[in-house]
Amino acid sequence: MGRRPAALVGVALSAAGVAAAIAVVYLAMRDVMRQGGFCASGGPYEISSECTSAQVSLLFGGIVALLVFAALHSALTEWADGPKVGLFAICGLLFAALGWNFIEYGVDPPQGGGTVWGWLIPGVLFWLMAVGFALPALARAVEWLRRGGEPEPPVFSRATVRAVALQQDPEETP
Amino acid sequence: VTRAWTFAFLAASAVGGAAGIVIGWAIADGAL
Repeated sequence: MGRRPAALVGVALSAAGVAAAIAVVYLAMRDVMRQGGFCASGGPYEISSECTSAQVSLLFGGIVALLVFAALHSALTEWADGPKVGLFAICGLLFAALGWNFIEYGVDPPQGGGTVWGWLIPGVLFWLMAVGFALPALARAVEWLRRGGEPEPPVFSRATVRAVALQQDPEETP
Repeated sequence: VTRAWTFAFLAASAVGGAAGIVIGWAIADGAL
């Protein structure tokens, strides 16, 4: 398999890994929030909100998988000269998804009662961070569309050495 | 690097991402 077909397969797989990891973390976070927003396990004290093994493995496994697959996607993008939109888009999507959990359950808490400001405020901050990542991703995407899908110009290019041959005036020669 | 290659690259990411959401959702739904 050539470099480009291999890169396409790798990019599709790593994008699938990133999206799966974000979905897993998103759902596991919602599960913990429905339980009251915190959980613990182990230690000498009696725990009122015990973490299930599924919550622990999905949250930690999801975070590690997200880092690994995002790094893989980024490396493949570099290797195959792909458009460099991925990392900003991944971070933006992650903060938007998790921020939505905070905002939704902050406004309408699963345990009932009024607005939970301790969730709503981080939710708004998460969305601000999502915008902070989405803007450069969008700018790069627009730039890419303006170029008509042409690859990005290289950041560094080979130094150009210009040589000038000076011709001496024969009359000035001593 | 050609224009078609850049489009193919983004399409692969989008298709993989869409499949990943379905897979991740199914994994988490089954585990929780």
